[in-house]
Amino acid sequence: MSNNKLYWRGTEELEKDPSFVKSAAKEFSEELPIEQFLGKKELDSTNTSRRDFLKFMGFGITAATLAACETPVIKSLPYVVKPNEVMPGIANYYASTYFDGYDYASILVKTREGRPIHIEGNKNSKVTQGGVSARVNSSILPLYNTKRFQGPLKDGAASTWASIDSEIRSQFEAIKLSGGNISILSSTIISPSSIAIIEEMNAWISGEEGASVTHVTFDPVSSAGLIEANKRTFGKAVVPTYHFEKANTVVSLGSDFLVNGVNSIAFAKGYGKMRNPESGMSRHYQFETILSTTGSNADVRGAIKPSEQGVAALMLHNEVAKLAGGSAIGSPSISNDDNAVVSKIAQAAKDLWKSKGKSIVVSGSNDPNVQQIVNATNQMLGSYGNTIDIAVPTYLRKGSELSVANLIENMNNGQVSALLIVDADPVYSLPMSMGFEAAAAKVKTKIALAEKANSTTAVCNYICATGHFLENWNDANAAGNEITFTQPVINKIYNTRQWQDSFLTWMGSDANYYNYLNKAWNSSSSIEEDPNMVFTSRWNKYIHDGVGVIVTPMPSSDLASEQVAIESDSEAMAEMPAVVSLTEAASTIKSGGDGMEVDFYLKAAIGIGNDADNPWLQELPDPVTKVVWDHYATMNPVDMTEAGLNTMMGEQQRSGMIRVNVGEGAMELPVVAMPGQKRGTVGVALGYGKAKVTEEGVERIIGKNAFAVLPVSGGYIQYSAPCTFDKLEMRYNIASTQTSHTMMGRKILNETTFGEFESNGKDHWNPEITVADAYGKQQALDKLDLWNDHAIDLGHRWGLSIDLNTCIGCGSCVTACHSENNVPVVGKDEVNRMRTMSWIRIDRYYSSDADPEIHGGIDQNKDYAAMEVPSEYPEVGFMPVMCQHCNHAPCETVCPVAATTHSDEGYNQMTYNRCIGTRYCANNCPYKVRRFNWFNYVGDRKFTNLNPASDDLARMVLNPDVVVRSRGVMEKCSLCVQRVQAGKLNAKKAGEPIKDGSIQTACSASCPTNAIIFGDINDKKSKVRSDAKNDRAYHLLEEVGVKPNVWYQTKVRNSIETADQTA
Amino acid sequence: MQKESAIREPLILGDKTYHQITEDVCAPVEGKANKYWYIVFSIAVIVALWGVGCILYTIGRGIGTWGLNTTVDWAWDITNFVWWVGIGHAGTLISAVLLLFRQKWRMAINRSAEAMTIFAVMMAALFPGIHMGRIWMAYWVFPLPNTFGSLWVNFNSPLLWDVFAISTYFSVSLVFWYIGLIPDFATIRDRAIKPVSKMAYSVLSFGWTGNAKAWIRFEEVSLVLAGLATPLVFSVHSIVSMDFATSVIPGWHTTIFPPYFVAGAIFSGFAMVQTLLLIARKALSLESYITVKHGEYMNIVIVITGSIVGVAYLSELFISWYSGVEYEAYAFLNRATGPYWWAYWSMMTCNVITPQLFWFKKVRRSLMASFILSIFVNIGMWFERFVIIVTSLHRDYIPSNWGMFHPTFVDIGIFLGTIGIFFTLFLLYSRFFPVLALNELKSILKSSGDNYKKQHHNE
Repeated sequence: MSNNKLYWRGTEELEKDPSFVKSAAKEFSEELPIEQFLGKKELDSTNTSRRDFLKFMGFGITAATLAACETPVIKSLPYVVKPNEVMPGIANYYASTYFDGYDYASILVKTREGRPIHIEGNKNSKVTQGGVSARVNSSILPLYNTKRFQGPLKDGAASTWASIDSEIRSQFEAIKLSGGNISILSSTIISPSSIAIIEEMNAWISGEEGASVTHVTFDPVSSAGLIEANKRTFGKAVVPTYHFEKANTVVSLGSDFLVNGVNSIAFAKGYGKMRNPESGMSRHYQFETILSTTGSNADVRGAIKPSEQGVAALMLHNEVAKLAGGSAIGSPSISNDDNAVVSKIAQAAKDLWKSKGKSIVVSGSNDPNVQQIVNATNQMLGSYGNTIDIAVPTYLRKGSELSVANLIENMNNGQVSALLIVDADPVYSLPMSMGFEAAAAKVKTKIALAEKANSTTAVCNYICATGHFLENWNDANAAGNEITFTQPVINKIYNTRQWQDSFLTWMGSDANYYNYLNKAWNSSSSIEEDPNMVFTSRWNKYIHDGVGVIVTPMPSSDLASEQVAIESDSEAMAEMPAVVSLTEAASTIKSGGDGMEVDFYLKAAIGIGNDADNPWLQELPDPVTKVVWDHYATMNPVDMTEAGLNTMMGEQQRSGMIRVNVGEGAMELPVVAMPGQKRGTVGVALGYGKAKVTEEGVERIIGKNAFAVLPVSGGYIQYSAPCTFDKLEMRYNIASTQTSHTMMGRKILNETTFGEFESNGKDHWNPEITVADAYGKQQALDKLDLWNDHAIDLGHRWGLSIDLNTCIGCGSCVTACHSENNVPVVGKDEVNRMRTMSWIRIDRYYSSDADPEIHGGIDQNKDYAAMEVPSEYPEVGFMPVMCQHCNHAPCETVCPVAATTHSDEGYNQMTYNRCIGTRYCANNCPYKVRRFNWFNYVGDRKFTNLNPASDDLARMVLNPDVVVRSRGVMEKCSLCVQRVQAGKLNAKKAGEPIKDGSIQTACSASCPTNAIIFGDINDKKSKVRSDAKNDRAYHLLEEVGVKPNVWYQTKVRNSIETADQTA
Repeated sequence: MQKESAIREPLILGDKTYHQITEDVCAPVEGKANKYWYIVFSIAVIVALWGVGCILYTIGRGIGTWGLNTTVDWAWDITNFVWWVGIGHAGTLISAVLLLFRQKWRMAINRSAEAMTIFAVMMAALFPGIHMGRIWMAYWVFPLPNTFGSLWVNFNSPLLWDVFAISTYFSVSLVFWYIGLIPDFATIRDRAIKPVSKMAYSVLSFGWTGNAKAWIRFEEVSLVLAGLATPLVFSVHSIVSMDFATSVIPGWHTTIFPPYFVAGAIFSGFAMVQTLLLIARKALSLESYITVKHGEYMNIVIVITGSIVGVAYLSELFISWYSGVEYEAYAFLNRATGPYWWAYWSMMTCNVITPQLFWFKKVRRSLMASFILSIFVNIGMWFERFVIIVTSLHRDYIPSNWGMFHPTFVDIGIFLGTIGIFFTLFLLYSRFFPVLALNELKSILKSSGDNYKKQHHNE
């Protein structure tokens, strides 16, 4: 049977070999040395007990677990339910409006994953036309400011909304019953709905007991003089709308209208349009004291003393009158005319008259008499209705010092029961002589509705935190019939409430401000109707576009007289409409004589100081002096040398200090040389010395408060004064990004005159660069190249064209670049060591008396030492410089590890991860645009209080598309490669070629005058390509042969030519 | 046996025997150091530690601790680097080139000169490392196979050439020096009494037996290495000069640089040898071996190379004007008359004017004058590199970028620190290594020794 079948394992089994039989039963045929191993005595003698084993195992597991942990822990929470509109990695843009009582812009806010990170201009607005300024695009950073109010405060201690609301409401009820007065002091309010709320409050409080609400508006930098002059001339107490885009001749009497005018962004836009020698070139005269940003752009500039503002206006008036056949008023004269101002004024009058109807005269004076004369001049020139539109008012300045003075009087008399201060810092920005602080002490209830701590909130009982504008709703009617909306782009970061909501709550209204706005514009028939849309979709469209049009513009008189209507007590205002004749006005004007005078001016970055604690703005070099992080007095270097003050700047060139005595007050300030400033004057910037809160209490933000010493004349605050100065035996370190000021006769900023440009060919003013070859023959640069070309005609080739003629030097591009590219803020000490990190800088050059006739070439005898010294009254030029993205980049060949290379699309690209930091590339860059990470700017203790990226909250502002560079690597302008990539993807998704202009770099998008054009040079229809082929186009340092992808357009100065003088 | 002319000055003074040479050279190694050695050594160590501290601070916090800025991205770091590399040129030149030219006088100085070379190149190699923003990534400059894909070094970059040049030079110099040391270590080993030193020296001497075959091979290897090292003497500083010469910066972009740098390197190297040996001969009582004649020979090299350097300076000035290039002309005018005029004129005085005193035999043969002038040259050559690097960078093409460089305490600390480390190493060397090539020296005793020459003369 099969069952009985036997298999054997081998012949041994078959043969029953004894040795096999013996081992067959065992599992292993050979003896295993188990006994031997276990029997070893050594094992017994080891002291590894079971406890030890467990200890080791425990340690091992713990160590392995710990090794798996990452420090620091970065929390990243996914959405549970993803909002529809948020797509990780895709930016959303929301339209909003910026107005801080001073600057106005309709804006687009870029948000990423719910975080606002960047501000750009909104092109839908007809007022600002997509323009922004440095102050506007930097305003994103204060949103993440941990120092702003995080909730309501009572007497300096944190409180709750419920408790302070009930207290304030009961006080208001008491005022209502007792017939008291609630005074509201605010900066200019351009929100129709906000004004309606104030009116509603007045209606609520006034009753039989005679209680009232007084609303007083004041502007730290006032246009009350202009408003008064317009009232005298036209019977309209408004600021008109200026159209610089229509002006062939611009004369500015001390008005820095491009960066600190009433509506500077709009002004810069308009001005820029008339600065193209190809299509329209205005001539700009500027008569001013200090060298302002606007003055730096002037074709003809005259330096006068501040007290001669009126004299100059009168002289101009008389010159124009002479041409118009009118009669001269008085016989004004300028003492010590050291820069031919008189003849420049005569020439200005000729030009104005020649371009009659296309002329504009503006003045920065706050003296109604001066403004009245300017009005008369403009009338003779036919400016009204052409370049100046009095029928379309600009509502951005409505303040009146006269009503503030009246309010202070009321406060002193005890007539004010409660004072509400809305978005204003009067303790800081009103002159000491007006005595606001003392008067405030007499008011029992003082409520500040403010975003952050300042000198005024320090004296208030209640502080209602209003939050950042990007957390709030609002509307704005800046000028004419355009209404723009502010919409929140982030949930409230802190426990804040916008002031309109506070007002509504105190009045007992159920509505919040959003409902109020919605309802106001719903019920309002004045907003433009689109019959095809129901209101909700119309409202959504307005919010989406940020802009709407009021069909029937609010009557200007209504808005401007708002305060007058409410101010029943105002005696001063009642007296005002006295008619002042032109001769009377002129009779008040006289020159200040030979004494020293101080001119109080505003800086392009700091302005009136609202955001003086914003590190981006402090680190933005002043367009003219290039100084950062400091408050200083300016003087003409000739005066400084006479006074024994150091005119040099640099790490070890410490500035001298002076004490400026103005009236009762005095300020100790370092002095910075400002060529072009009128001799015998001192310039002091306003906006510094604002209070901020630190752990130690309230301290001043850099410098002294110059508002405090402003004189008041005839009720109007004046921005100049007679002064004296004493030299102090102290030295002070001033940090500047540029310590050499002249071009040293080189063709850096190529410049010509308009006459030359018109009459001569390119060869005269922008000749082709040739280089001698080995045989002495002049050759085109291409012929002498050692290197093979990249395939530059294939695919995209991104490039920039920068028009030196329209660049006004304002610095908007610099802060936009900081915001877009996460450029670190490094602080004063680092800038002083010449380690600014900006990827784009604006070089400012002064002309020198020793400049050679022809720039470039060494055949001329040059006095280099003299060429380093700017003229006493120089011409000025601005030149933005960023990485030139050379096609034959010298940086690329020298990097030992190939960390910087050329891309197929024309970039010179920087691979941070590969960089080992030898800095050879930076040395070999002729433009010196490479920036090295000297420290770990995020973690190093030196930058804890400076760099936003060091702060957990402020880090939110960082652009997630751009890496934060680590210590020890090189960085530089990338031509906003992240934007180009996003633009390419958009085009790809749409299945279309990239449209020219659809991709913008941060700098080109933020330029208020469109001086920077970005595009694809290989796109035959692109603007940048046609610009590159323009006669004015040239490469910076073309002779070095690096073949940049950035073109500059020759600056054309519309100087006075011999032909003009005879005309 | 080779005989030497009687009017040729003897290279070994006094009545020396072979044994006496051994005794003299081994004395510092076998004896106890005196208190001066300890004092100097302590100072050197303290300075070295301070330098190490500054280096660690730099690595810990960033290059921002130095005085560099956006305009001047190299200053003391690369100045020190080039200075030390230059100093490191004399040793190999003396041992290799002079060996090939059969210059017997090199035997008394080549050992120390080579030691100086090794230590100087070590100091030099430190700077390209620590000047990097991310020193921890320094290995990326080597063409290593890596996981970064096809990422490779950039062979166009002169910095990469530097890496190869310096590392090759260092290895060859080290091997050359060590080969020369082997027989002398063996001598010390044979004389050593203490077991530790006997052990150490027997390891160091690689079992040298001193038989004829070993000597033949020794001399062959020396010749081969001398042949290898000679081109390196010229290549290293040529390549270092290309860091500047291949750039586009006016004042750097100069074709004259390679020969000018080599001459400058030999100039500074000899000056440093002079400085060190004039101290060493006194401190170690080697007056019989390192004689006035040796000093004179070196001074001749110094005055010749110094004159070459001077011609180079003047050529640069002339060419900058002759080129007709605005930037070039200004760069050199600015050196002489700009804010750094003092550096330029220090360089001119120390490198071109003062060494010319060596044309006078009295000065050339005065040890004190030699010492002082050698210090001048050391200072002048440091300034030369500073002038080339900083004054070219601080005012280049675009005036808005112009600025100054101001060193910080860290810059100064690191520079002094390298001097401290250098002297620490050199002082240790003088205590534990045979400072003269004693066995080689013995080969010229009978031909160039003072007493033997007299005997020959009397015969």
